Amino acid sequence: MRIVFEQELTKLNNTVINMGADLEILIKQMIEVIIQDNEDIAPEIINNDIHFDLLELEIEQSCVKLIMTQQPLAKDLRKIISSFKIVTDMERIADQCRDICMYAIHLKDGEWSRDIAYKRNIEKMARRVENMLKNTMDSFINEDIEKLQAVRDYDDKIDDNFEKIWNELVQEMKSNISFTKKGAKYIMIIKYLERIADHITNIAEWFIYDLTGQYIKYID
Amino acid sequence: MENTLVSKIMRNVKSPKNKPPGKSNMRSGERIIYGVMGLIATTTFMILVCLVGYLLFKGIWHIDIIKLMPAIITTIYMVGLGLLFAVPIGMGCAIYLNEYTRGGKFVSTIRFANQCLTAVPSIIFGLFGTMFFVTQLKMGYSLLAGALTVAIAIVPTVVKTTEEALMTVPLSFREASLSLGASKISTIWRVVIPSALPGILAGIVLSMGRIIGETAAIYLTAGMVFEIPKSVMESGRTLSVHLYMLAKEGLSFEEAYGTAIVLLVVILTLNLITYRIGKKIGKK
Amino acid sequence: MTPVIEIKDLNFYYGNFQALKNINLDIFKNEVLAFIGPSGCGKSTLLRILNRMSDLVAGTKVEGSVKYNDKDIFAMDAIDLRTNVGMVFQKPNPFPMSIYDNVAYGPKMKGIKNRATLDNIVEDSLKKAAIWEEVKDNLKKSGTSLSGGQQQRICIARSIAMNPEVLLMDEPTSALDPISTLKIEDLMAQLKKDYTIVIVTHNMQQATRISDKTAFFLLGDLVECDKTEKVFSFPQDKRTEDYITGRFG
Repeated sequence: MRIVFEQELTKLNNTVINMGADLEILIKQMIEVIIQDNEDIAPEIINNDIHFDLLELEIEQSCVKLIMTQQPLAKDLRKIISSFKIVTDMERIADQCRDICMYAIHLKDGEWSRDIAYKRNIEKMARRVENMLKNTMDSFINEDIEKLQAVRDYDDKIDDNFEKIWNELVQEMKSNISFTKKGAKYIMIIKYLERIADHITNIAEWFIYDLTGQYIKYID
Repeated sequence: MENTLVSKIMRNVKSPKNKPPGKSNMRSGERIIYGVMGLIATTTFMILVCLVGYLLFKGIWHIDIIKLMPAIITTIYMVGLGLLFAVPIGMGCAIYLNEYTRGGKFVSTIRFANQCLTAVPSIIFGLFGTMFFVTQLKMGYSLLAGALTVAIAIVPTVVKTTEEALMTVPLSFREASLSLGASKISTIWRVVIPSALPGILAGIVLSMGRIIGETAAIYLTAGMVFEIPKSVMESGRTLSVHLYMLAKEGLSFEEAYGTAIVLLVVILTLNLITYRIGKKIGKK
Repeated sequence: MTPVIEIKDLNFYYGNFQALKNINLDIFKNEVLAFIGPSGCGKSTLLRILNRMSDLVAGTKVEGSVKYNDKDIFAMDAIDLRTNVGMVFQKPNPFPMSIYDNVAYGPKMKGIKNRATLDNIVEDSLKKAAIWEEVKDNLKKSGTSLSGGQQQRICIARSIAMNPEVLLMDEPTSALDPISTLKIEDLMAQLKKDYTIVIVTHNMQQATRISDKTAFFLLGDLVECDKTEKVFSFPQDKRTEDYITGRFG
């Protein structure tokens, strides 16, 4: 029954999962840009943004088409609605990765003694974000609702990271005027990382909605 | 481009080459059947025309309404009385069968008996009428005995036609009425019967024709006194019986033709009146 | 809040066939309750029990209780029950009489003879059924001369004229075109204010649009009954989900 619809839904689901996988790679590359000043791949990431825009469009259009033609209900409706929401968050993540890369490109300019230490902290934060996304996608594929609910803990930790690094940066900027410009860049980077974590939290919440029909957002 | 394509197709459609050979055969075959059917229909109509024409030709100069008055009046009495007895009984029976019973052996037995009765020749009813009404109940040869006899003869027809008419009333009408809190009897009275009225009336017209056309049964029960009856206990002679007498006794064939024309006119008039009444009730 | 209709442990049989199995369901005031389920699941049977139209079928047996305002409906006078629990059928079935007489049929049956009162009831009912504007100049016209959608609204007006508390609707739009269907659906949203509506529908989208609660039946069982939004976004029972997502059978 409803063979065509089933196929379309599976395709939609796979597209979302693939987009998540692409995002994982993107974040990995982005970390490389920040940590290793690997400027060669930065333009690639920046240009690659269009790929995610197109994916977003594709998923949105297929959601609209499925709603229009199939009148989905229950789990089908949840799948389509969650995909529609998730793809927005995913596209935002891709945007923010691009923005981070734009800030990260010139980080090695104006050599500064404590870069390494900051970068290590930021890397820690970025790795956490990376794991968070990987975890979210894996838990969704395995339909592990408990793990999806635990994604939020990552977000708390990342917020702590952000707070700590931000304080350090502000302190440094106060005492060292010449650091201000670079410090601002660092702040932008960690802010974007923190935003990415928020988006991943959203994605996890929509995955939970997809699987259980529960709106986590409004529960607490 | 499009134009040429369309015209090409059109040409193809028109060209007889593309017609499958079987089809043209079938067409001509069908045409023959069509022609034969038309011929049969025309023949049927022509028979009627010839009949009426012949009657008119032979009898139009011999119509003597005044002389026939007793027969005309007796016929109308007979129809009225016969229907008066037969219609309530017949309709009641049909309503019972169709509205109140839910099938079963009893009902199918009644239906079967009714079916058989419609096929019983009227002479048998006439015989029964003479034995029972005329002799046993001491009614003598009278309009009443005659009317009761023809009533018995037509009840099966009334039952059957009424039942058929009731069956054509959709179940949804009954459901709708009942769902509005109507009782069964008011549902039947206010919705079912009005809806079935055309069919019921058709049945009544049919029965009327049967009464008017009846000779044997009436001859045996109502007698043949050729006078305007003053009460239902008097004997009378209906048009059909009169016609029968005229023809049988060889009294006057001319008068017989004249009577036949009057008979036709009476039937036509009664039918028209019934339809008028039906239309009026239907409109209400 | 006490329910208008309270169904307890209801079993229903056509001969040896059990059409409904142990149904428990409460229907509350001013609520639109939709019955959904595949053909032969018992939803229409249950609807017809609620105003005892089921009595019309021979060889049936009922167990359990159905209470209308705390009165056992099987102990009530059927005519009494039906004046309070009206019904609209699948096929529009106006009587072959004038629009006016169609609507006045029930009130006349109740014994209302006063012409002015009847006029008022007819006008009011036709207005409530959102058909007054279309027929007010032709009240003498035969009810059967109207379009299907108009006929169905006449039938609704006819039920409303009895001033029932509950309106039962047995697939009221399945014989209508989409526009008429939407009109009837809009009408139901209006009627909800004054009446409790129970509707049987095969159209899932319709159930989502018009009902507050949805009950899903399968093979004589009441599988699930909950808020419509919940049933159609995350049903609790796998069978419900399979049915409403079209993965049934």
